[in-house]
Amino acid sequence: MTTEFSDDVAEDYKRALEDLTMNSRYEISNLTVIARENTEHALAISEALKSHIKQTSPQKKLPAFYVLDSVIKNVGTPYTIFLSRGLYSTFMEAYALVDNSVRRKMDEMLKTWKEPVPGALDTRPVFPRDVTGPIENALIKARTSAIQAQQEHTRSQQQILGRGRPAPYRETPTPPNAYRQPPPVQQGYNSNYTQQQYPPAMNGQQYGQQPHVQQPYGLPPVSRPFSCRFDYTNRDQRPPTQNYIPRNASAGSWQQPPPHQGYSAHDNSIDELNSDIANLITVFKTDFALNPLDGSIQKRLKALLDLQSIMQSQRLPPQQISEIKTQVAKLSEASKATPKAPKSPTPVPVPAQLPQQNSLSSLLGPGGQGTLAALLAKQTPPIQTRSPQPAPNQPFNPPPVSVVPTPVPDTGSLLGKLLAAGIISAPATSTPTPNNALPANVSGYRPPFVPNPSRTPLGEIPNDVVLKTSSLKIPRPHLISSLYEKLGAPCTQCGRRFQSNEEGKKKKTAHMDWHFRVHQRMTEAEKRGQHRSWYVDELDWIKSREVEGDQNTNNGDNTNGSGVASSRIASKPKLQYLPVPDDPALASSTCPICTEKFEMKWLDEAQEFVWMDAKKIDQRIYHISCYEDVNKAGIKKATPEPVLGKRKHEDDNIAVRSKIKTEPY
Amino acid sequence: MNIPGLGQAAPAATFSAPTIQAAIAVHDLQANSEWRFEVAYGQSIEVKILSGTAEIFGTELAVNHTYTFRGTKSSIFTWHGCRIEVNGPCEEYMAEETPMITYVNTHFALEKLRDDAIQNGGEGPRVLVVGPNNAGKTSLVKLLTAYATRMGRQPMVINTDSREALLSIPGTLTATPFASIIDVEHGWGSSPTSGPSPVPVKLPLCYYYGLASPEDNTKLYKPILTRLALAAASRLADDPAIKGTGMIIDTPGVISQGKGGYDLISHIVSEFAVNAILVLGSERLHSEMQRRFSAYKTRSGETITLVKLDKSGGCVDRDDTFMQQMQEAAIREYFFGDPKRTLSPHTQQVSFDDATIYKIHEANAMLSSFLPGGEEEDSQQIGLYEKVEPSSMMLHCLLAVMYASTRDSQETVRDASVMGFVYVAEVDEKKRRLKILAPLNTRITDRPMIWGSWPETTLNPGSAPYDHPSQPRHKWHRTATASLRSIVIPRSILILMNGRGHGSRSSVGTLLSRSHIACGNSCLSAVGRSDDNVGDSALLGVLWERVIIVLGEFGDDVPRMEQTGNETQHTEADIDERVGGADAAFYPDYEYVSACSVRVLTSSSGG
Repeated sequence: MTTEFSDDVAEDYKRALEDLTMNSRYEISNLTVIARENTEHALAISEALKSHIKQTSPQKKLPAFYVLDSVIKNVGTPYTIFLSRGLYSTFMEAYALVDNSVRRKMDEMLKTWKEPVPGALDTRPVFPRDVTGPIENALIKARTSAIQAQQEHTRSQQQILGRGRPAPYRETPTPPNAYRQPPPVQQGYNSNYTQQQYPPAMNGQQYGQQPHVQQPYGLPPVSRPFSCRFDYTNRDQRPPTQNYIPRNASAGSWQQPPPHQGYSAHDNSIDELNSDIANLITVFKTDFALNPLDGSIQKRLKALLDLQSIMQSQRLPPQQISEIKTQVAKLSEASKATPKAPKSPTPVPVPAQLPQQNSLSSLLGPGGQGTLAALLAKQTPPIQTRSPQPAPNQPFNPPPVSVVPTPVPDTGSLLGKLLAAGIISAPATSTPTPNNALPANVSGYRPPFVPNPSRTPLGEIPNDVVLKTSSLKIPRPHLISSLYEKLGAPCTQCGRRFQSNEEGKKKKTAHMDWHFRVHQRMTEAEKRGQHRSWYVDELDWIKSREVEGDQNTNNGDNTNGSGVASSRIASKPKLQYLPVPDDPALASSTCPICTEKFEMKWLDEAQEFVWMDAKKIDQRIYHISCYEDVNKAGIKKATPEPVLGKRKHEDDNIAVRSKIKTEPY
Repeated sequence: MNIPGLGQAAPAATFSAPTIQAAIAVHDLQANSEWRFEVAYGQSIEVKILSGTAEIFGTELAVNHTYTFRGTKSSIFTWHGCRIEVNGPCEEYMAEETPMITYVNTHFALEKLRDDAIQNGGEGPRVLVVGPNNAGKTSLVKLLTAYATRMGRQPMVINTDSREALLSIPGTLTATPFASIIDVEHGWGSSPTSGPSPVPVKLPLCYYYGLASPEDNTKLYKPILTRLALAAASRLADDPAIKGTGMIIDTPGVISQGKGGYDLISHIVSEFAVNAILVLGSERLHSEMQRRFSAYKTRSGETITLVKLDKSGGCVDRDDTFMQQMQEAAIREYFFGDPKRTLSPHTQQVSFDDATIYKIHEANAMLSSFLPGGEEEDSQQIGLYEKVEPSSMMLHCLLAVMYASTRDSQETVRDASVMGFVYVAEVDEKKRRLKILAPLNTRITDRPMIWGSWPETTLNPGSAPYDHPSQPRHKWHRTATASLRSIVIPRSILILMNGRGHGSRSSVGTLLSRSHIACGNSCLSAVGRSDDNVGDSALLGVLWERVIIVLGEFGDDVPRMEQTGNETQHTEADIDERVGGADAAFYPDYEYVSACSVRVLTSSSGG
């Protein structure tokens, strides 16, 4: 094909991309089809796509990425080759510009790129490791903040998508995820089970946390022909209401860590697993509290606790972790197999203390809580004597329902299997303990890995300590919890905790962002050299504010970004330099006081040429030091001179003062 | 049965297998116990919390985050039990008995006062911590600060101890609001720099006292305190978050040890409107405080709550060597940053005529001790400071640059806050020029500078050649190392050359590795080395800021080098070429100066 023709195709493609303003499954699939039909022009189309991603506004970046994702997964070579060129910059530049929710989507998408194309015979990852590796590395630092954002997003995303035509795409040969059929054991992790419209096999995965009424986007697999082809031109006939979500998105990483998974993803999944186990423990504990005499619950709880301690103290190879996951999955899966599980009537408190607080719920999707409740319900049936009244402080509060008992995988056997498989070494404590030992331990098991259901606001903590020796000597463990559990989960980077209310969460998100920015900037700063700043002077110090220390860094970014209160940073350096004015007349001006020229200097902090020690006052630029000297002298002179007292009007005074200011001294 | 997740979870047997190195130790801490450790200067250990919760002086540690400690005596406490992994040499032991319950209850008692204050729109408690040296005052202050910060408060921390700096250089008195986490690895953290900081920086307001003990010159100490209190009170009045939290005031141990000191305590109490005094450790002090303050009312009519707290068993005496190392570290950190973050100070030349330097009088205490208390007359005669001409006496001293004008009166200068510190690196009395090291490159000659005797000239190795062949080798190495430290500037190239027939290469090698330790790797970006042959031109041509170390005697060759040094014609390309071209990127913004300094160190093995 001629280049000209390629150019035309690219131009058309570009225009089509520009029309793509939102996450529309239809348009994305259409664009994919076009790409497929024009593989001869793959280079041009790839370039068009890349440049579009780079140039388009941040809101449109995600749909564009979805096109890219769709193309590489459904068409593959040659696009994979062309698009992998410069993928790092394409990805990272976009990543830097978009907001957190989009970042999370991009993270998910990136994850899928490290895995083989779902359902394809080819076991190679979507993109070669050396393409995704650098991106992944760059994002490792972002991971924590991304997780933060995820929580926020989960909620907002649910609200955004209420409409959408009911599954118009059902006729397509393969619904989105069918070919991405996870191994049966892992199905338990598919969340929206209780509300699913599709048979599990057809909708094995619900990507993201969107309500499943929304048909997620998925393209027919490469191996199958399209049953209907869409003309490029008729794309407008269909309302672009559907969303495209990359395959095996958030849940993907959870499901089965592929052998080549990067470090962070690995860690992440361990964290998720940990929190998942913690959640299961909570569930079992609740059960246990209700049925302290039930041996099977106790046994399972015990096994889970052991498993948890192993997880927390040992670093297991990914292989073993995935096996544990499978087992844990089995456990919860069995419970979720119940077709109609009752939903928890009240919102379950988000276990904010867990570092990956919503990993389980995000994993389970919006129906997650219900499923959790289902799990709970599922686990309870064996106990016939169970009291219908749950304990008042129970986090999960499912109405007791009669469900057909199905075989429940025994956690004990899970542990046994793990032990037998040599995956984990047996803790010496795995010997059965007397029945009465466990309750004490369970109740004593508080910090910081288990959500504390009764989170009392700080003000309500009874604090009866007075500054008297006798009062100070009494241990008050309940107060200590206000330094730990009653605050939210600690920051994984520095251990700082934030209150678990809305404000605290916001602060924590900002805090994680701050960490991320600092990490980024540390390396840059290291290269160009840094220095200690002068201390601030008295007045500035009095006026400055600690904006919660590290919260407000947006302004700080421009100056020193060291995470201190913006106000003081903003105020201080301004006093010390002035950007060289654009106006040529001003630029050649001299200090009216000393009549010397200003010294131009490149200032790294400001990233521009500046005049140090310069300040603009009344359209004229002075050396700050000259100005201050004169001003001080001026004021001193002005006040004691009795002659001035004779002048009645303020105007005169001002005139005198300005004279002192402006005239060469 | 053990409690999973709390650190004492599983028995050690389970976990002994995956130990990677013998040097790594894993400790299990029971709930309410403390792991105390000491790391010598020049050594470092890495500590990681594997599970459970742990805190250092009230600041919670992140799990699975590696913390590095150097030159410190500290402790890790756990309320819930934890498991920690320690990698590196340190003196350590476990302690079950701690006064932590009392301390944390003190915090909660203060919290209650703060709640009350916020409700009533008043000021939070102003807490004064007094006690003899090494009673754990600063640790308690840190603990209370950290706890308050964790609860979302913003305490104002006042340091009135000039021996130990808080976010500054010894000799300063500071006020610092804390809203963010305290850096557990480096004392209190860092004051602002031009770059980002891994731990949020703190913003201190500094006043310079410049003497070791408040009793050395109470005529200077008291007004500075007054000024500090005034500034702190203004901030409190302006800033509701701090107002509700109040102040925590640290004091020097020496004022808790005698009558003169008690007067200073009274001064602090009245200036800062203290309404709670925590007495650490000393019965006698407690009863004295009771006697003085039981009927005392603050300006706003509050009574003073006085409470005695036990000294922690973990308090250790810090000998003079340790204190000196601490001061030295604080000064080095001010200019050069910490291992995580290298700072690059600037050198500037200042003419004697441009510098306005005041020297602090120290003799006041001695003189005034002959006079009845409160007598003021001789201070007026002597004045606060003496204006001095730069002299070689100042070499290796620190000068405080004040936020004042050179024309201001001495009182104004005294009351001014500190802008920063400079280090006198060279005094050329012939050319009447000072060479100073300043944190950043701005003009300072329009500011008065104060020359105190504290901190002592700790960075001082002297410039004289070490010419003591009879010295034992290790001692020679030590002095040579100290000498290196005094002149090495970050991102400078250190060139060691071995003179003909002077010692073996191993001397150079040892010195090389020692200088790395002495200066911290961060201070040296490259170390060049030439052996025997001075004509080794690749290194000779490089005129880095001023660092060329010549080991051994060179005879005729030395002048030749100086001559080279005086040339300023070298282009960057020239230097690139000499350094080897390829490394140019490694030295992104070197500067070269007209003179390189050549130090001749005679090797110990001598000829």
